[in-house]
Amino acid sequence: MNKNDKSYILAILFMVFGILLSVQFRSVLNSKKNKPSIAYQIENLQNEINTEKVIGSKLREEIDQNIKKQDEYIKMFMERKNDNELAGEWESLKIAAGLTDVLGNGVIVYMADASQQMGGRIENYVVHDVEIVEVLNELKNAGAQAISVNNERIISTSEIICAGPTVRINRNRYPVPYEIKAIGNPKKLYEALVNSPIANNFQMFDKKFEVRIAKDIVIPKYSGDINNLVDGLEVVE
Amino acid sequence: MRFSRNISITIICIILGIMLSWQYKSIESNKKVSASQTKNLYDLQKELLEEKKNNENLRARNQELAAQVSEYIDAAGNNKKIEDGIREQLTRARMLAGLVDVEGPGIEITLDDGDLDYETVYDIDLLKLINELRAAEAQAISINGERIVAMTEIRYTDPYMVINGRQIYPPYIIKAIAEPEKLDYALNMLGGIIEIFRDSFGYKISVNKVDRITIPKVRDDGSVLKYNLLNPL
Repeated sequence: MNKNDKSYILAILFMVFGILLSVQFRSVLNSKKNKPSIAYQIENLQNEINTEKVIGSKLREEIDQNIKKQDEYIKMFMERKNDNELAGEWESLKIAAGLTDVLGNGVIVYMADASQQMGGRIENYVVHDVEIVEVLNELKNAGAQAISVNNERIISTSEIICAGPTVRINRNRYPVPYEIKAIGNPKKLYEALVNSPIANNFQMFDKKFEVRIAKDIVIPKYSGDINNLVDGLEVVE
Repeated sequence: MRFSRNISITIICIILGIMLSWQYKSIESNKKVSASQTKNLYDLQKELLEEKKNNENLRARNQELAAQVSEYIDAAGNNKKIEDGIREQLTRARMLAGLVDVEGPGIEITLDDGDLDYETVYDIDLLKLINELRAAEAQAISINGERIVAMTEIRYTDPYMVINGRQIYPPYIIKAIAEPEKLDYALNMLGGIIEIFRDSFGYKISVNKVDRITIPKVRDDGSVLKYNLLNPL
């Protein structure tokens, strides 16, 4: 009787051991099966994204080259015609419409989601389209003369609208983080942003909002086709 | 004898317990790691799609530009044709910058404060509305005769709005020109925000499609369009 009692306990113990062992074994197997393949996939995706980015920057260069060529033809023509008035107007129009790269002093703003959520709703911890719009409005109010978001030049038709997890600007999509460059009076721009309610809001939810004064900022031109942006308009004489 | 056996079983049980809890913890953390990796994977897949889409747009734009350049080359010698092309380009830039009055089919929105004190239209409301109009591909926009250009600010300072440095009082009349075939799309896109303004905020709002609408050019006294701090490259 006494001996039987002990063997029951031992049997139960070994059963528990067995279950433990099999669970353990499976979990190890699983993580071995998953980990390398997920890491592998991530690496693959990262590589693919990098190649796409390289292709993208090459395309941008080509577009730049072509715009330059076009501009040269226009200039050549004006020189031949000796039409200084037209040439001068073309140069100033390009600045007014945002069709030329510009350089100047101003501020660079960096906006990003909070790194971790501290309770509450997830919406509070991510950057929204309206917040970018508000930052741009503060900059414009402080006298900014040229602005870009993630190197997309802000022109009169530029939308900043959320499209799924990304934000659409000039019909292109950009994920977080957002880098806003603005040329103007650096001190005025800086103070307008640092004292704005948006800065406060970002601080409250631990979202990143960094403003720094910068010299010789380059803001790229709008490089899309402007015909698409004005083809519904007719000039009133 | 019996005492020592009991002790050894107790010790085994304790060891088992510790192992069990440790094991359990490790499984949980494994799960967490793989979950975060899957999320990462998902984000990367999306990013890849975005990059591909952006590149497609760039490719299309590049082809278009190359075609335009070769048009200039083909037209070499044909001065009339080149001049027409250049004048067209100038006109487009003028319209885009807001330097000429323009007209076309469009929408007219009248937005006014509600009857209650707190039902006041703020700058953020107008900013949102303008942003939605731009997203719906509006090509020219004005508020109470002030052309909205790239660097136009909209700022509420009780009891008026400052737009392009000028005081604007309600009601706000927002005019926008869009391509005729895109007007309905634009109105649909605006539906959501108009409903919120009317039903949740208590503003008075009306939206009309207009066959012909005129939007004035930006004030050209040099106070709106300023470029003295920009150096073209």
